Amino acid sequence: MSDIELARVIEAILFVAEEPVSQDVLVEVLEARVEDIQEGLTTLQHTLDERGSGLIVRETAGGWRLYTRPATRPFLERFTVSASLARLSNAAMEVLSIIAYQQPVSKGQITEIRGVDSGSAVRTLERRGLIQERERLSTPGNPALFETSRLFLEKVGINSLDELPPLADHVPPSTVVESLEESFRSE
Amino acid sequence: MMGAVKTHEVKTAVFEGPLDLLLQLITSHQLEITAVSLVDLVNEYLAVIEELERLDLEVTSEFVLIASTLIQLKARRLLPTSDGLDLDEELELIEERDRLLARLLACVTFKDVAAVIGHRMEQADRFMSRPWGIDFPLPPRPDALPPIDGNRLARLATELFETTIAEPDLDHLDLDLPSVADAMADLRRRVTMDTEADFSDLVGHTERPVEVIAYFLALLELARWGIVEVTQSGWLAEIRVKAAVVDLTIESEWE
Repeated sequence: MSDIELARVIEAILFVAEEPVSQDVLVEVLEARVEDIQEGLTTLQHTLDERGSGLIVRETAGGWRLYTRPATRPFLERFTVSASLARLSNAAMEVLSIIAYQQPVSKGQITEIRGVDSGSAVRTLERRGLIQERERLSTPGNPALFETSRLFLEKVGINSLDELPPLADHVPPSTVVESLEESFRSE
Repeated sequence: MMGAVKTHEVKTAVFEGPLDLLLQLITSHQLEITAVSLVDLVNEYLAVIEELERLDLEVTSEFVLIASTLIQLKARRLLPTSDGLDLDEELELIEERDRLLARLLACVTFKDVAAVIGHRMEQADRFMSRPWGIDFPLPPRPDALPPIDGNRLARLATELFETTIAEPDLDHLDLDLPSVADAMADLRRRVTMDTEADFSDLVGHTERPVEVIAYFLALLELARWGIVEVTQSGWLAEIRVKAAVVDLTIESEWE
C-alpha cells in the first residue's frame, strides 16, 4: 500500500473508532510495518492540514484519534449543547489529582489527605468516567481502590501517567515550608 | 506580595474542611507578615469553629481534632519553658504537629497540581471527538429479528401459557411472628396511671428481637390512640410509658 492509500484507510478507521487507536492495532489491522503506519499517519496529518480540514489527527492516551480543529470549537458549541462539558469543581479537581498521583487509592485515603469527606467528588468523577474502581481491599468494609481511566489521559491530553507534571514541582517552595514550620514551632 | 492590601481576612465561611480553613488563615496572614503568629492563628481558627457551631452546621471530628492540636501548640507557646514537662507528652505533641504540617503541605501540593491539570484539561477540551463509533449499541432494526411463522408463534405461546408460576415454598421458614394485638393487650394490662414504666422493663420478659418489635409497634399504636403517654428525654434515652387519663375502647387496626 502506498502512503496515500495507508493514510486513507487509517483515516477511515479513526473516523469510526470510539477511542484512540494504538499504533499496534493499526499495524495489525493494516498488516503493515510500524514505519509504514507512522508514514501513513504523517501523510494523513499533512493532507488534513493542507486542505484546511475541520479535523486533525492527534495522539492521546496511547493512541491516535480524529478530533475537531480547535478553531471550529465556538461553532460546535452553538451547534450542540454537549460541546461544553460542565467544568469540574475545585474539590473534584483536587480529588482527581490525588487519585492520579496516588493510585490506587481509597476514598478514606483521599479524605485523609484533604481533611474533608470526598465521597461526592469521587462519585462525580466516576460518573464522568475519569476514574474507575480497580479492586476492593479485604479490610473491613471492603473499601474500593480507585485509579484513573484511559479517558482521563485523553481528557488531559497525555499518553501515559508518566507525562503528568512531576508532583515534586508542586511542593511549595522551601520558604513557604519554613514559614509554615515557623508558625507551628513551639520553642 | 509587597504592598498587599490588608483585606485578605477570611471572614466568610467559604472553605472546604479544616485543613482548607487553616491554609486560608495562614495565607491570609502571609500577605501581611513574614511569620504567622500561632496564637492569632489558633484564635481565628477557633473563632471560625464557634461560628460554625452557632450556624448549627455539623462540626466534624476532623475540625475538633485539628483544633485540639492547635490549642496544645498554643498552650506550649504561652507557657514559659518549664523543666517540669513530661518528655513523652512533649514528643507526642511534636509528632502531632509534624503530622499536621505534613498534611498541610500535601494539601497545598495537590491544590497546586490540580490547578495545572485543570488547565491542561481545558486545553485538551478544545479538541472534540465523536463519542461513539459505528458499533454504538442501538436496538436491533425490526427486520433484524429472526423470521417466525404463525405455527411457531402458537407453539411458543402455548408453552408459555402452560408454564405455571410456582409459588415459593415458605414452609421451612418458621417465623412465628408475635402478635401485636396480644402485645397491646398485655401493655394495657400492665401500664398503670400511677407509675411510669420503662419500655425496657415492659419487654424484659421477651426472648427475641422480633417480640420487642411487636411490643414497640403496640406501644406506638396505643400512643396513637392516646391510651398511653410516652416520653423520651433524648436520643436513645429510655422510653417512659404511662397510662393516659382517657380510656377509650378502640379496636386496633392490627387485627
